[in-house]
Amino acid sequence: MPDDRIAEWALGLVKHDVRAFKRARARFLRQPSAKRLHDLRTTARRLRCVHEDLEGAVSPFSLKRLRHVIELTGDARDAAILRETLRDALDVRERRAARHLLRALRRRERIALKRIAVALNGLGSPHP
Amino acid sequence: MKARQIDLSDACGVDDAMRRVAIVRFAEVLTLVPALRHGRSKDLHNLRIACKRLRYALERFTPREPSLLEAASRLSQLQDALGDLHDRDLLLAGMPKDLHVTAQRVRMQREDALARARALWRDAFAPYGPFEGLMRFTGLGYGFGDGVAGA
Repeated sequence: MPDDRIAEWALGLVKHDVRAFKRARARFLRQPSAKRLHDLRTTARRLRCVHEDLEGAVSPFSLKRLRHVIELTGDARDAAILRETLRDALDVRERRAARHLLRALRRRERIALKRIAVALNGLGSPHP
Repeated sequence: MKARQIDLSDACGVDDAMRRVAIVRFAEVLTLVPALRHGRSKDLHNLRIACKRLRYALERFTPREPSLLEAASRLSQLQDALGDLHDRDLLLAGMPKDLHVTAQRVRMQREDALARARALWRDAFAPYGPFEGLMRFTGLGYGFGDGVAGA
């Protein structure tokens, strides 16, 4: 085990990221938006990274559900960004041909957003 | 790409622990950086993930080690360029075949993003450049820069 100073420092960093994640989760559940989805995804990934970096210095905790949230936020984010990118690049003559893909992306985003809400409600506390 | 485990069991104090984390995460980036030269999607995606891990670690450490701030900021820019590129790759992979003109535009945007990432990487290693503090802190990265990403 690393010395106490390292353990204390590591725990402080983990707690900081847990608090940020909890805030982002509460905001997203209150009123989902693209910005809040981005914040939720970023804080969840930061929390996963701090755990990976300092694994040996803090007491172990399960990342299984957090990973699930990250995966779902990735689906929603990808669908939204791909739709926006496609719209920006779309040639006016190909608008009709792109309609189906744009609709499918919108549907994918909506489904992912619903799943995120369900996953977040069942998440509980991500760390002691 | 899975993050490498970091052994902190015999670290001597917080500064040493920070250095060990930074060394492992920077080494991951340096291993993957040839992707900037050959431009393959999967490898560029892995590089982006590695840049993100390193950046998050550095941002955590900057209150104690402000010399890492510039590297964290450069990694954020690099991550943005690689993210734009990745989004274009995803879009191209799922795009119907009859969107010829649009696909051509997206491919050009992808090339722009790759050129941006290469320039950001090359410039990071300039004397007194954004990676100076990170290189000094970790002892890694000397000899990188032009030769690696100079496509």
